[in-house]
This record gives sequence, C-alpha cells and structure tokens, in this order.
Amino acid sequence: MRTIRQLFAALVTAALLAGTAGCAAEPEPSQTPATPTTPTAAPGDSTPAAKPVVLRVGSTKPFKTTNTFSDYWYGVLSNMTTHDTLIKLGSDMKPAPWLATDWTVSEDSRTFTFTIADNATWHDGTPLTAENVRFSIEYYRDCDPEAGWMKDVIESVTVDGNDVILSLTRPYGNLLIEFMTYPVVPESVWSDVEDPLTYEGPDMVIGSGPFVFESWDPAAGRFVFTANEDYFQGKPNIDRLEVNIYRTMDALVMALSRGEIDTWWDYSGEFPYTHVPPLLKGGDIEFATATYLGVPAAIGFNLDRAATSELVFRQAVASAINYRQISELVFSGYGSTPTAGFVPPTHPDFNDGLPQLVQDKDKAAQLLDSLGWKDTNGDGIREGADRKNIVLTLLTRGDVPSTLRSTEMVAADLKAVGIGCSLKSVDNATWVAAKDAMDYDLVFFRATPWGTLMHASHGSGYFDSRRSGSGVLHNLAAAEYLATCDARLATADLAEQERLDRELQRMHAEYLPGIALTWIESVYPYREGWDGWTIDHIYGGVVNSFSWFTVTRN
Amino acid sequence: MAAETSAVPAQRHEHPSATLASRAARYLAALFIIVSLNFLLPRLMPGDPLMNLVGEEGYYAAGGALDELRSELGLDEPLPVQYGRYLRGLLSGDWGYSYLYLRPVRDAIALHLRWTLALVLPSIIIAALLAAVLGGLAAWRRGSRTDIGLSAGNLLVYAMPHYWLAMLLLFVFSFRLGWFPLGRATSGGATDLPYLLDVGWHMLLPLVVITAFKATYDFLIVRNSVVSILGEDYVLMAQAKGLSAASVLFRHVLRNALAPLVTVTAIQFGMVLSGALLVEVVFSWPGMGTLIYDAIGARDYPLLQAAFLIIAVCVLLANFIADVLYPLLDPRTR
Repeated sequence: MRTIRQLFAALVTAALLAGTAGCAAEPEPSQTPATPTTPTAAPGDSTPAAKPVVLRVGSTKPFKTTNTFSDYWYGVLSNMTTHDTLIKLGSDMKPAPWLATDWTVSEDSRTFTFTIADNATWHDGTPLTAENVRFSIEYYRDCDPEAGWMKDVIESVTVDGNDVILSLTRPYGNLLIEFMTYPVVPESVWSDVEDPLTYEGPDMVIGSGPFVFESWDPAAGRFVFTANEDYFQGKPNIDRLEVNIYRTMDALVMALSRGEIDTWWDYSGEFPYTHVPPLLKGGDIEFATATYLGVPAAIGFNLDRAATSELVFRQAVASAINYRQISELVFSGYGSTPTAGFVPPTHPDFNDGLPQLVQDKDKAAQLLDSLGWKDTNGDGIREGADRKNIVLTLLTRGDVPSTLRSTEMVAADLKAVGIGCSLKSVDNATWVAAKDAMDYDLVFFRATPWGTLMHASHGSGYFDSRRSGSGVLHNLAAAEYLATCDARLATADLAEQERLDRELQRMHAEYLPGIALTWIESVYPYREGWDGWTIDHIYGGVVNSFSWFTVTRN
Repeated sequence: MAAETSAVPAQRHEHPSATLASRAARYLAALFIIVSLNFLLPRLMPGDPLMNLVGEEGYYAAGGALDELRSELGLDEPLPVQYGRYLRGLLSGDWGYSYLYLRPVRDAIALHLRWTLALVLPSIIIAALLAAVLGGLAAWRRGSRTDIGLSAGNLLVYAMPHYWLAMLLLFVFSFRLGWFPLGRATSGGATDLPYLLDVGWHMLLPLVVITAFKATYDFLIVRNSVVSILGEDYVLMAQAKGLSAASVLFRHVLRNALAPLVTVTAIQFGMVLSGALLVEVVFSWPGMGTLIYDAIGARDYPLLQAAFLIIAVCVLLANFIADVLYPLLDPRTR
C-alpha cells in the first residue's frame, strides 16, 4: 500500500510540475525593438514630460507572426503602422500621395513614374531612397508568390534621381490601386532573404512607417508600437499604440465596455450590430459610421446550370427577395436596399442611374410563369421544363452568422414564389472548394472592400469568367462585359475610366451574375474622449494611417 | 482500452515483462493506425491549404506560382508518396512545415502545447482529487442532504456545455466583477515570481471550467463505485474494529474504489484535451485548442497531423499508465 501512496504522490507532483512548466517557460519569441522611441523629457528640462498618448486597439484577427510577407493579417496591420506604401486610397476614393509625392502615367498607360519623398527614413535611421523602392518592387515581383501578377506586367524598373520608372509589358490602368497594398521594404534586411515567407529574423519588422515596432507577446496577445519621431510626414499624434488580440468578439466587446481598449479594428469585417445597443446604453462609447465599401451579403448564380442560366429566372429571383427585411433583421437596420449595379455609392464613378432592387412577388411569379415553370402538382414548388421540382442548391458559409441568416431568409423568399431550396452550409475552405467545382445553383458570399476594387474594379474581379481563385465566382462570360473589363484595365485615363466604370455597373445590372442583398452603414466604436478620427474605407474604419495624424485625446 | 485489458482477471500466469511487451505491441499497433488516420482525414476535407499560405486575395493573383508552391510543398504528389514521406519524416523527427504558421511544425506546437498542458494537467489532477473526496463523501452519506446536494450540484454543472460555463464565468467574474482578466495567458512584461502569479491569475477561470467539466463526471463514477463497495464484509469489519468513519472511508473504501477512476481518467484524457479547445477559445488562451481550431480552418495538414498525433499519443500513454497502475491498485487483476 505504501507503493500505491508513493505512486499517487509522484503522479500528482509530476502533473502539477508539468502544468506549471508551461508558465515558467521562457518568454515566447518576440522581436526586439528596432529603435526605441518612447517619449522622454529632455535632459535638463525642468518641465514635466507630457503624459504619453496611448491608443489601445482591440482586434480578433488571428495573428501568427510579424512577417509582413507571410502573415496576411500582420501584413494589413503593418501597412498602417510600421510600413509605407507608395500611395494610399484617399477619402475621395482616389489615389492619394504617400511615399510617392507625385506620379505621372504615359498616354499609353505603359510607363508609370513615381517621385519618392526625399526626407523619408527607415527605422534604423538610414535614408529611404528611390533605389530602395526599385528593390522592393523587384523583390515582390521575383520572390513573393502573392505578387505573381507583376511578372507578367512589370517589364523593368529604373531609377532616375528621386524618380522610380516602371515600364510595363502592357497597359495596366489598375496599377495605382494595386500598389496601395505593397509596402516598401528595406533592402538591407531583405536582399539576402531568398524566401520572404519563411524569414523570421528580428529585423523583419523594420519599415519606414509612422510607428516603430516594439514587441509582440503571443501569450499576452499584444502588439506594442511606438511613434516614429522622425517620420517624414511628422510625428503621429499617438505616442504608443497597443493592439490587443481577443479570440472572440464577446471578450473584445467586454474589454471595450470596461475601458481596457479604446476602439476596435478589423479589415473588411463589420462590427456586430447586436453589440451596439448595450454599448450605447453604457454611455462612454461613441460610434463613427460610414458606408461600407464592400458588399456584406450577396448571391451569385451558377450560369452553367439550367435554371440559373436563364436571365429571366435570375430576374425573378431578384424580384422575390425581401431586401428590406434582410437589412432590418440581419443588419439591425443599418442596411439599405442596393441597386442591381452591385457596388455601393462609396465607389468612385458610381452609376446612380440604375434602378433600386425591390421585392415584387407578383412580378417574380409572372417571370417564372413566362418560362412555363408552374406548380402543376400542387406541392408548392414549381416544376421546370423536365417536369421535376425546381430545387436550388444554396451554397453558403455556416461560419459567418450574417451570411447564414441571409441565406435562410432568401430561401424563405424563394419558397414563397414556388422555388425549392436545399441549403449547403459549410466552412470557408469547403465553400471555396464547392464554389470552384461549381457545385451550387446559388452561392452566398461577401465582397470585401478591396475585393470590389480588384481587377477592373466595381466588383468585376468577382464575376469575370477568366479569373480564378478563392473568393471569386468567375461566372460571367458575356463578350461585351469581358471586353469592357479589358478596356478598363488598359487605360489610366480618368475620364475613360469613369465611362467604363459606369458601363461595368450597367452591364452587371443587365446580366445579373450576382445580386447585392444589402449595402450597409458600418459602425466603428470608440471610447469618448477621442476626437478627429478619419475613416479609411479600405483598412477598416477609424484605425488607419490617416487617423494617426488627425485623432486627438481630450 | 484500460478497462478492456484490465477489468477481466488474468486467466494465465504470464511473466510480467511478457505481459508488458504484449500490451506495448498492441499500443504500437494502435499508434500506427492513428498515424495513418491522421494523415488521411485532413486530406479528405475539401479545401486548399495554399489559400491560407498566400492569403485570400493573393490566391487569385498568384497564378502559376501556386503550382510551383504546391510542388515545393509536395502537395502535388500522389497520396501514397506523401504518406511515405510523412512516415519517414515522423521517424526522423521531422514533422513537416506548417503552412499556417510558416515555421516547422515542432516549433509551432512547442509554442502552444505547454500552455495546454499547463491548463489540462492540473485540471485532471484537481478534478480527480475533488471527485474522490466528494464522491466518496456523497456515497458514504448516501440518501442524506449532503448526498442529494452534491449529486444535484454535480448533475447541474455536468449538464452545462463547458463553453457556456466558460462564457458565464468570464461574464460574471471578469466583466461584471472585474476580479479576473478577460482572457489570454499573461498581462505581459512581468518576469520570475510576478510572472508566475500573473499566469496563475489568468489561468484560474479556465482551470475552474475544465476541472468542473472533468470532476462532475468523475464524481458520479466514484460515488457509484464507493456505494458498491460499502456493503463488502471488510468494510463492516473495519467499522466493527471501531475505526473512525474517515478512516474507514479514506483508508479502506476509497482505496478500492479508485481503480475505476484511474480507468476513466485515462479514457477521458482525450475528451478533456478536446474539451479544452473551446474553453481556450473563450478565454483567448494560446494553447493547442486555438492552434487546432486555426489549423482546421486553414487545412494545414502537417500541423493537424502533428497536433492530433500528440493528443493520440497522450491518450495512449495515459491508457498505458492506467494499465500499469491497475494491478497495483487492485491486486485481483494481477
């Protein structure tokens, strides 16, 4: 019996020791600061140092590493903090100067010349030169799989003084938009790195941006950045920026409510509207609002299948949907009914001549009748030309609550006009596989702000049949639509771009490869006491590169 | 596994080392099957792991580079070839490369495994101790208010989904009362003893949830086991000798009632680990739960394989230990 006692004691001790071993382990990898810049009082200065302005941001994004090449979410975050792009998307939705103070485009849209700011420096103090920009572009082209398109488009990159000149193999009108997402990286760090995706050196966080990376503690779930005192646009208004990571939105909202964080950041996500009333009730949270640049709920049609390939059928579906109900119930009244042109009015060159979508069940029934698809056996579902019930497969994301709820509501609307539905609710990876295999009749998706700008803009990246990839439907092959996309891609002339943008929206309404179910007003919560936020449609609301220089704390 | 191999008394008297070797061989066979399933199951799920590697919007832009990447990672090879490479890698200690974390799988797991063990191992031990004491007490006073109260309380907690209990505790003790942090493992910045205390402060609520999850189940096992033993002659004998109630319960009864608890703990090891998954998510705990959760979404085959393999090995090891301990606890099964 003594043996048993000894064994038991040993087991308990071993388990508890093993348990605490995790706690006592070495701190997890975090990069050392490139240049600590925490504000301090100057020596001999008798006046007390001003209290540093600290902004604490909360996010639920799953960060893995601080490599801007390999971690998608850190890449987005670093674009706002530690790194700079040549240009950014201004509040007027046009390209705005950033590291490139100016640019010109040749008449044939094949030569782009960027003039680089002459006072920008890297965080290690060395000047940022036009040669560095040339290196960055060539590095992306040659080493980053995500920038594979550059191999086809960029023929050469040359430097002339402060100018970087890009010669293209073909006209590419969307180059400026593309370059908003590729930050300039230091040659001194990356020139010897063959595979940027796997690099984990501590200097990978060095950039030229308004903030200097200080630390990333995965166990504490916190990034810390400090203001770049020598930033070429001037020191930001925030001295210290903390980004705190929570796994659930519930925990984040509790932290916001308790004052542990000041605001929320997400790229392309919506702040859950259900959390708005309790936060408003608390009285110390305010909200900024802006029309969302993307489309938070949409459907796409499989144009290769019998029913959905019929334009009249797609028009019937468009008439069957109760858009107002989706806006009210799924998006808590923050939605509005879209037009058939797909993208919301925040887009440049918005075509305001297109009619608003509206639910008209009688019209939907008439359109279906006109196809000869009627319910002859009285089971509530219409039969198609083959005398079989029309039952559509609705492919949707079960892991996105708003998408799933929208799907259920559309299914009910379709059933009301005699169209049966079979819901296929799956996770993201399965959704992508089923969508690419065209294993659906109707697919439910959401278009991100950046997604609506990609390719020939105005949502064309999702529908052009020649495209491929995870988020796009590539379902529309109409010759005039493809030709318009090509023409839009080939010109950098602003007037021509505007004409083609409006044409693309008109054609979308005419062919209906997909339907936006709602456009929304995004809400961005922040603690009272902060003023002067700038809203950035691309990078996620009030937390963005522009706000660093406009926001103040009372 | 432990129950299956030990509940039936041995019919033949084999040499102990032969018995041990035979059991080890069975565990090795189970391990091989698990390793093979670990390889196969993630690949049966639809989805492309490369999407995570290059990002959703990079995926469409990568074009032909995706094929190169697929070839580089060996994902374009036939499954038997990938399987062979996987087995060779396992034997040589190379667990592959995580597409999600973009580092060797071993490094990615090392970052998370210790946090899960820090949470799960103390939970299992505390839960077993609590269950032994409270289960024994309830059985000893069966039919009394103590028994009814403990049993009802246990059933109430047992019936709660543990992630719901986690949310409830987070809401009440962290949000409303502010006694504990809103998740994560540390506040950051501390070292040495303050660091350990800080981790303990962060750990307490998730520890309570996992402990409760395990203890409530164990409670019923121990209670039933003790009740079945209380009628035995040796218990009557101990009482007749004038031993105190505590002495009879803890020295004579519980000692013989512990064997089922050991078996259940071994069998439940995997359940506790998987149960920790959702609790870790609720408390933003940087353990294996969040790792597996993310790896499934990203179709990160090497990481999933390694994570499930570690869990399987832990379960097999727990069962093996139970097999070894059982004869010590109950000489009748030797």
